[in-house]
Amino acid sequence: MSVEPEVPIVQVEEVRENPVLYKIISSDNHVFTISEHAVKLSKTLWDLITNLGLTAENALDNPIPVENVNGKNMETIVQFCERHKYDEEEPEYTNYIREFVLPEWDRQLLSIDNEELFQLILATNYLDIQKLMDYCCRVIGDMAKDKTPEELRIIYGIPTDAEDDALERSASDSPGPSG
Amino acid sequence: MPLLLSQFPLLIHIEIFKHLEFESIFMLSLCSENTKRLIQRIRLKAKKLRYTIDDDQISVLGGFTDDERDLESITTLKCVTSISRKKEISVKLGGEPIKCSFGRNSHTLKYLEPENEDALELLKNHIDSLFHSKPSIQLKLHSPDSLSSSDIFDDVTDTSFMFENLDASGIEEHLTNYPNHHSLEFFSDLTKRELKQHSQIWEIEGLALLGSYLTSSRAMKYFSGRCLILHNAEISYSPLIQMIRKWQKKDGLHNLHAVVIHTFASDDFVDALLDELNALDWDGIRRPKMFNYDPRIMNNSQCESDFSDAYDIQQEDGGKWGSILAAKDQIAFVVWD
Repeated sequence: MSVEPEVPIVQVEEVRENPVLYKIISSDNHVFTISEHAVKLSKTLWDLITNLGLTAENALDNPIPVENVNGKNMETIVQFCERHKYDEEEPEYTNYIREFVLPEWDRQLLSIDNEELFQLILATNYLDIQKLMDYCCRVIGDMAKDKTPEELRIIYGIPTDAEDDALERSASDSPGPSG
Repeated sequence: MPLLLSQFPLLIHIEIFKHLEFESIFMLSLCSENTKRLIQRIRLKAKKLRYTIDDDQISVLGGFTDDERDLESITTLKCVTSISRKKEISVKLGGEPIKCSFGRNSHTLKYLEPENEDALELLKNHIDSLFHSKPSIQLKLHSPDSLSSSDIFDDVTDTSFMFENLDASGIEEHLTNYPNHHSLEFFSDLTKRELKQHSQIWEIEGLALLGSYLTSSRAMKYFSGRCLILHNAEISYSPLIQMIRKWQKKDGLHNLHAVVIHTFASDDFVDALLDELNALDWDGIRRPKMFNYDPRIMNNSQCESDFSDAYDIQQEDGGKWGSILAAKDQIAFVVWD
């Protein structure tokens, strides 16, 4: 799989305005190119770039390995960061985060199965991309809207108290590593 | 395949819970004891909780801020006489198992009263356990029974009495039980209640009388708090003058923010009032144009009001400025900080 993300038009403008591009290698050895404005959305990556002293001259010759994120998630993350690299900061309003509506483009990007979403959230947390974290969490929050406890158990895989007790008992009954 | 919520690390749980509505958090807390413990680890901090208590229904709203507009529903419990066996489930509310059902697309938890007489207390205990902070408690009481059942709360800061047959002793007892009240709102006409000069209601910071009628004069005479709102007021000239004079001479009302009187006031009445008080036209300098109205009374939102057409008076000895804004259906007196 060659996971070179499609270069959106905004990235072409970015190249013209600001030619600094970075290379990132995912855990399964896929290589991604990301612009400076986009990579700044990830606190982890930007700290790494700063600490490594990467500059416009040497950035493309020094790909950054990210061992905790696979190519599939990295592709989504790069697309997201390129899309949102020029966004203004969100308002500092306590309830803003609960009231904002996920834009359609992002909803489509995050229309993935639950296992993928789970992994994407872990990757987002590792790369410290607050905006993507907010958007992923909004998807999770929307799943819970107007649901009863029974429905939530199914959506979030929540065992009943009886099932939790049974699991706990079987865990304590099972022999340890020494047999 | 489900999204395994419990398997995220705590920091991600915190992020997720920022995006969950109060209703969803409450529903999650009913899923299992483990999920409830997960919520407790998040250490949610609400600023206020509002319980609306009726004879057969309890609703709870919660807010992360003091702003009235930020309140959102947490849950509604409805007492019913029967529950379909097909829909019946058991959840733990306040540590006790109760049989209940949920309506389709509804967060209303329906429970059977004979088996759950202490539903309010169970709900209170359950909600208390979800929040790490100690939110201020507001009550909206719809019946005398709801008033008597409200004594389970540790502290109450605001109460709205939404029923007619309310006696003065009940109010005084409620205020004695909960001396830290910030605001009171009365739906009923208090004219025939024996509210004495030294009644605790006059000392409340925020007081709103929705049917103030003939009580208006006494309210203006005795009120010593911060914000007084009188709806359907039957206003007479002298109590209003005396109230403003008291503030002007610094004989009382030291903490006054606003008095808003919803009433019909004729032009003659307003002219006489302004003459008597020697009110001045606004000069555009001595105080701002916009007044930040912040009543801090349940059901009354804060807002910015244009006071460019208001008239000004000053306290004695170069004290604070106050402004009177008169319209056909409302007279407002506000104090500038």
